[in-house]
Amino acid sequence: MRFGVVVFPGSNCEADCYYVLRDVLGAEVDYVWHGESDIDRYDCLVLPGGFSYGDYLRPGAIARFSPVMESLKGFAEKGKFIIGICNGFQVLLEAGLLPGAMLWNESLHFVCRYVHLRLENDRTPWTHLGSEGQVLRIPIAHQQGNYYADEKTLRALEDSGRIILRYCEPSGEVTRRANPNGSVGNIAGICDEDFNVFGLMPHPERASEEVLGSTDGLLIWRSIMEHARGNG
Amino acid sequence: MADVPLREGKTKRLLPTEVPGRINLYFKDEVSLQNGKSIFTIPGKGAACAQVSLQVFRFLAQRGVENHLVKESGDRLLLVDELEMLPIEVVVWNFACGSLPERLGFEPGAVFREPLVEFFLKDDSKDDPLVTVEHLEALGLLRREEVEALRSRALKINGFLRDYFDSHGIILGSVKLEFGKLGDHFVLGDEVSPDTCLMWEKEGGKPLGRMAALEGRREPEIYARVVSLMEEKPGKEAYVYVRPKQGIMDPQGQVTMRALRDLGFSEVEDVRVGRYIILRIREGSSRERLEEMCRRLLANPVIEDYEIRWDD
Amino acid sequence: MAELYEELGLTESEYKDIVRILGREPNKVELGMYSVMWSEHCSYKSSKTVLAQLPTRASYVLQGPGENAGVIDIGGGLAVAFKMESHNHPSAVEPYQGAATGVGGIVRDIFTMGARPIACLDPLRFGNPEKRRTRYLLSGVVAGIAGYGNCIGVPTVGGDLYFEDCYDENPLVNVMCIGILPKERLIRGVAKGAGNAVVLIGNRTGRDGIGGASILASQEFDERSEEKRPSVQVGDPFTEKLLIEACLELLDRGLILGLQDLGAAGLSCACSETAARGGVGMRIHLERVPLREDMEPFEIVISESQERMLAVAEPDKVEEVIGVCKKWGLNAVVIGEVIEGDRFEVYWYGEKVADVPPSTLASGPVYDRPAERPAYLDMLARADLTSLQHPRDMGEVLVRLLTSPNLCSRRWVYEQYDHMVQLNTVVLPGSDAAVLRIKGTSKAIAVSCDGNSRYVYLDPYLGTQIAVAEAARNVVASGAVPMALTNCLNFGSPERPDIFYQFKEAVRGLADAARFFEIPVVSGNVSFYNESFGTAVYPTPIIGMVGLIGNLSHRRSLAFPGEGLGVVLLGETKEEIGGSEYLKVIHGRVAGSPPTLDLEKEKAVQAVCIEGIRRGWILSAHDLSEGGLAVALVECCCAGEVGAEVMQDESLHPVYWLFAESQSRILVTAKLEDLEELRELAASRGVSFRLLGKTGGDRLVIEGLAEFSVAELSRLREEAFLKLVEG
Repeated sequence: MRFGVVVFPGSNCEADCYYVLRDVLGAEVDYVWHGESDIDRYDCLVLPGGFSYGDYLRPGAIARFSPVMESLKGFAEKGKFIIGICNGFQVLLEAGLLPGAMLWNESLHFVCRYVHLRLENDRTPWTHLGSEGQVLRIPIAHQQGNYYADEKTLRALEDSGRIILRYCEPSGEVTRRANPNGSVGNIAGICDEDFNVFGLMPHPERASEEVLGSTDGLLIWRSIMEHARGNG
Repeated sequence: MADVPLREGKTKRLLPTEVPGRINLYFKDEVSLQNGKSIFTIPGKGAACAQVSLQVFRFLAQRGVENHLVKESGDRLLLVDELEMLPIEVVVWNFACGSLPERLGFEPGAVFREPLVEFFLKDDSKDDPLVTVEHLEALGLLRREEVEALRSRALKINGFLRDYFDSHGIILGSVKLEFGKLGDHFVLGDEVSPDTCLMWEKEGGKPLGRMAALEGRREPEIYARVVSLMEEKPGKEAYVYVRPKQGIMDPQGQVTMRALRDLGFSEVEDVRVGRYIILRIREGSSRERLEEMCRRLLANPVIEDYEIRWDD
Repeated sequence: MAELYEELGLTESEYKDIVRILGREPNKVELGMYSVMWSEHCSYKSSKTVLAQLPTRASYVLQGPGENAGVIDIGGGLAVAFKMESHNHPSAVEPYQGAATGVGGIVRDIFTMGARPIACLDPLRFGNPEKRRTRYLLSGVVAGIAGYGNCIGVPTVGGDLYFEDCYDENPLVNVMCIGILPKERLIRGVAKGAGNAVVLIGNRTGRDGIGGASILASQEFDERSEEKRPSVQVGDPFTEKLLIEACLELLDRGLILGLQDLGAAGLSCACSETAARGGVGMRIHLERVPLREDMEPFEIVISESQERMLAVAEPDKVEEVIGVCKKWGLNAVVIGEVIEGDRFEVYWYGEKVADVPPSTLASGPVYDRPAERPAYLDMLARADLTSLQHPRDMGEVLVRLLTSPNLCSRRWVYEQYDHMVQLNTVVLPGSDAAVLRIKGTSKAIAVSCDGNSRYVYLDPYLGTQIAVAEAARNVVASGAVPMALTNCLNFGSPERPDIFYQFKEAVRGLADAARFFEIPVVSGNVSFYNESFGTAVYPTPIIGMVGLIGNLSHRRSLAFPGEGLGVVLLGETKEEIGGSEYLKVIHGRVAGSPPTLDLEKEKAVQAVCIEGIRRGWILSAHDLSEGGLAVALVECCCAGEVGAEVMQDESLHPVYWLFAESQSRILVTAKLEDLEELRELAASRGVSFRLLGKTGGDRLVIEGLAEFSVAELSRLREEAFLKLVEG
């Protein structure tokens, strides 16, 4: 499986994703400059966190017009995989590859801390190595991660099992208190209809080594790599 | 004194100044085709070429290309360093146009993998003949390595100019460059203008300046159009208000409302925080295009409404 | 010109010097350049002679003071660049942008050396937290640091935060940045080779920040400060991020010979300093500088518009340089060339508008200011603290201290900073030092910022020595060997003899301590004129210490790492409460002498701690500082989410036992079976070893004096800060 980590001007987690995929997981991975539109050689594209175009105007609003984004629709339709982390998730929303939008955190502050996440669906390419109800400990770092979607969209997400992660207590209970940004339904991560496109606010690459304090993020990386090998 | 030219060419006069080593270039309205066999006047041509040269030389200086420009010194006057000019024209071609198809049989418009460079000897009596490196060496004008240095410099300048004109909606077919010595090194001199470049307007493909004149057009617009394309004049302001849709949670508004109330403004019932965007728009746009800007970029239709204020 | 030079802040004798140097009257542009370059901020004219005593050398120092940042060799072909700087005055005028551009400036200093910035730390000092203005400044500064640092992807991993009334009008915003580089990429801000191109990269130049840093930082605050608002710069972190990537790419591809950022005094400073360092001259053409608005030459040469860099490149590399910048979406224009001789020539549309020797801009005047011991020192030192009525309930005292502004939780601050990006932060904020691993090696570096200004106020010499000792101790407690330090010296007006005495004594303390511990001072910054309405802030030298951990497994945090471990206090507790938090919070007094410091004992305690960690005996370590032993115990329990039970020291009054801030003490944990060996190690170095008790349970029990649940203590500390910022 070959990964491509997309670099927008202002991305700042691209090196982290690249490092985890290559040095921790031994995967094949390249950087993909946002101006490239030929992405056929990749099986999975990673839209990393950061502040593409400074988050000026709205996070992700300008990055979505990069040539690489134009190619992304066709890429997903071919059954290939896209994961958008934090700013990458915001880009996917702006591009309409995932439904909904991001509002400012309720506190209005940037917040960087470990959160607990309840795994809501373990039958996806991204999570099949986990089990439903499992609690993951992964950091978040964002100012606009307050997910919003209208009622109809929410119901559709819910009914089709496309809500993948929700903020929760260490015990797994989904409570208001455990919600770090005010997102509707404590939503932290969702998929598209075919489960090829995954967007999430938490940073799995920051929880992929023991020395950093958690390896819970490996579940996502390993799931997609196993899936590509035909397992799960 | 100052208006007695040091030299007069077909399209320019060189005027003395009080500063040693500095001269004024006066741009005439004459257009000279076929090496001076056809000379006529187009009003405003001189001013247009002076203006474009001024802009181009400034731009090239920022790109590290040394040239003779000091500053604008009048309506159609440029103050420049006096150079000891080489009697050579260096022409760079991006595609087959002008005299090239006729001379060498290229299909007009044929694009070259790499731009072509040609050297011409400046001598009207000999019809400005094409010369080779060997000719230049044998004539004692330049050494081989100097020719190579000029060639690569000309290619570099052409590259900068192609991008520069392109950003102003102009396609550059060819450019003619002249160099001269300032102290011990060569510096770009003469002019770089619609009279020394072959150019077309990107939108519509109409020929401009000299290229249009070659096709028999004589109206002032063919030069004036280049100036207006190159002009960076301010457009008209349009205002876009982007605000959270009714019913969408607006954390910034909520916090701001609480803060206002804390400050004693108890009459505040609700606050919604949006964005106010001021655009400066060039002529020829429309409300529809502004709407499109809002839909595609300025507002996120999932959570935001917008309103446009613009007198069209 | 006579009126103009005064308006620009030059003295008459300075003006005469300029006339003497030039052999004629300067014109307006030249005067503008001299005024900003000879300002205190840029020239260090009052501090230069005093700073000369600092030890700056060691075998591993690749670059000492005088460049954009200090650089040390950490082996394996790698080097670390770091520096601290102040942005106090801009932050007082406009807290968000002031702090944001402070981060931008120091980060540029680091990548200007060829290093990739890997972390920032921000020591902050604010006034009385009860005041609305303090809350406004605090939230603005923190948001500004977050807004800028988070965007550029450089984690903000530490710093500190203290409140004292003296900072009401004049907060201190210091910023430290650390970068890492392959040794061969080290580059300096030097122009060389006549004929080489001078390239200006980055943002367009505007009128913002004209005389901002240099003028603001060289005057004290008064009612007119508000009017200076337009001169504060606005930061553009997005462009900064692109500059980092573009400049590092230019260096990796060997396209440039010298690199310098544009900070205070803008082009004047960048051109004259690079020329002076290279012993060459420079000729620039101002009409080529991309402008945001119409400006005159005088303004262009001193504009402090942010996110701009100056590079020197060979002419045939210019095209590639411009190409790399273009790829990153950055402007790059050739504004001039390097020339021979000590000449800085500035042209404006062909006309020469300035012609001065750059070395005279860069060196500036030197003053030997008078110093006089202020009377308050003896008065406060004589204060009788022996007859104080101490409260009975030590538990209540502990709660009051824990919830006091200087000791409660800082989570609200550091959670607004992205402290994890780049995947190096292996000890997160909240510990003694931040620890950053170096990928691809088994090494890590530990960084800490310290400076108790109350101690320095009470005794400038001793207080500064304590700052050095504590910074080193913090790094040691994290498992690192201190390697080098940077500093930011924040003082009042150097023109006042009492203030200048504080400054001289502080620098003497810094020099003596650094020399004793053999820690070179590789970079630093002086910020004078931190005064408002005639009152100076406490003298506040901040020390930024960088230490090296050879083996990542030796990193330690303050958190009690588990149950059933022995809790040991290394070092002696004395009857010292002068200048303490206890005295301030409980008795409302700032008086007495700071705790004593025996440098030999300090060295011994640190040696025992490092050795104990290397042998694997010490499992957690925490330096004892403000709030003393009791507060340290609470911090260790809360961080580890585990309780502890400890005994009293019957030989001391409980107030001293729990709240004295005696120096050279470290609270450690070790397995019970390792205690004996640790005791012997301590004894071999003559270090006092005291087994206090054991970790375990969910309560902190201080025998006979206080008892709390750890969860309750955590809640108290967190809530106290929220209450403080939200009013």
